[in-house]
Amino acid sequence: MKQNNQHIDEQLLKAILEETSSDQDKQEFQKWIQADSANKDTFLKMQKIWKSSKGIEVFQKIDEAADWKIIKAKSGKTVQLKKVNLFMQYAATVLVLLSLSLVYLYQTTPGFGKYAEYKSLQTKNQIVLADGTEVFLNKESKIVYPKYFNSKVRNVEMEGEAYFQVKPDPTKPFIIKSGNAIIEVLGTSFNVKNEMDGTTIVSVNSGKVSLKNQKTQEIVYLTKGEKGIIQKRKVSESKNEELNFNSWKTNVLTFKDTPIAKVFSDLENYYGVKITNRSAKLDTLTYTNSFSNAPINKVIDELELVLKVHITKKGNHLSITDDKN
Amino acid sequence: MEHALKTQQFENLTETRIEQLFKEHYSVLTAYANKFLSDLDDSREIVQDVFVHLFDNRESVKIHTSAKAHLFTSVRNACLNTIKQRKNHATHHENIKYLSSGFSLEADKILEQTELEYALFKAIDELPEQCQRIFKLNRIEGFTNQEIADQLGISKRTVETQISKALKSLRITIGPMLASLLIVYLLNALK
Repeated sequence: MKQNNQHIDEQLLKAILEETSSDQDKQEFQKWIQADSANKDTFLKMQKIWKSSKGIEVFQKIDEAADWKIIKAKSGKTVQLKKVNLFMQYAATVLVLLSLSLVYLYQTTPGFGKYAEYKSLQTKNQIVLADGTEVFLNKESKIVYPKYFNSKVRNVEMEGEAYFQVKPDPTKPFIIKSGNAIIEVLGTSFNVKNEMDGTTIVSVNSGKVSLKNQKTQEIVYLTKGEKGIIQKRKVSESKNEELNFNSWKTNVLTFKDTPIAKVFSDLENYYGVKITNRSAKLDTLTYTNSFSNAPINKVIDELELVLKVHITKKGNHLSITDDKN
Repeated sequence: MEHALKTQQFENLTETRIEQLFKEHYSVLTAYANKFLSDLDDSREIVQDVFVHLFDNRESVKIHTSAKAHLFTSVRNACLNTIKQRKNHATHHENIKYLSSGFSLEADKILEQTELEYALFKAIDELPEQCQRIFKLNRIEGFTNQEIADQLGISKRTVETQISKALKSLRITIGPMLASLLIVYLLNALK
């Protein structure tokens, strides 16, 4: 073997690495390695490769293609799961909002859920509530009532004018909110009217009614033949002198020694007309009569005959003058 | 190595890019984890999870260093967690020490060694079939040259020749990676 050989026998180096070299080989190797530092470098590299090659076994056991599939499968799942979760989050939010609005609408909006609403325009109407209470609704009035009453209380709201014939139920008070008034009854009939100026008049026909001013919480108790008036912060009660308070419902107009001005005003209310009195002699008279389901022409004829006046009807306008005859 | 130097800030992780990273690094990462965990299945799972995480969070993951460094740090941390979770702490005490410090020289050396081994694995794969088989039987399976000769029905001399051929070929392929070994050797010798 050559001393400074760059091409030392690979077999010899391998024998050194495998530690199967003979003494002679070892001597030769020592000579070779000391001859040139490059030789030493070569050997170190070989040694490193030799030792490291033992560690490659693990790579044979790694199946990249299979593991890539596993990663794709795993990540696919989590991504999908996340998307579902995100979708579920949105869905849940929408659902909650929807539920809340439904509950809100159900609780508040008449006609949608819990409550029904009835509005009368040019006709009068009769409504029977779930408990059997009868409500007569005058023209241009509105009532909001639950389709079903709960177990403790019967609540309704009303605007305009209505006559209530409340089904008696001592365990469930019937409560009407109207204008500024809270009317609480157990079982009775009465008329509720909101005037244009905000006044609420409750006229009791039978039984007992409690009338409370919503602002002051002041209460008056009314019985048959009494009426209560809530006017802003005041609550007053008086004997109901008003014979025709519910004529709009009964269609009966009654006059009993009624001053003529009051007669005209009741007629105006009932028939929805405007009366102009140009006959001075009528001012001091009183009038007694009763009309039931009478058309306005029949009333006019009757008045002309009894009062000896002339009545001209132009549309909704009645003009009263002294009889020319 | 060149990837570590090429710092890509906030690189955009597309699916293709992740697959590319997988092909480049998966084997080395797994073998690297295996050096700490000594459990190939655990190692595979850890590295797979790192990739799954990368996949699922590719929109949000910000890689501040190189993708490679990010991957190795992730795997190293995952290994550390696994070792901590394992009941037998004592056995892995040394490994924890390596892994704990973020810039552990030892952990980096282990990574370098793993990379060398992977390069070797690739290089061996390129050897002629007979040469490759003989070399693997010797180095991996641990058979003696005589055993290999008997097994393959060839002479012992042929086996030895083939192994020498393999070594020479590998030295040429892998040699450049080992340029600094002499210096390391000399430094060690000086101690």
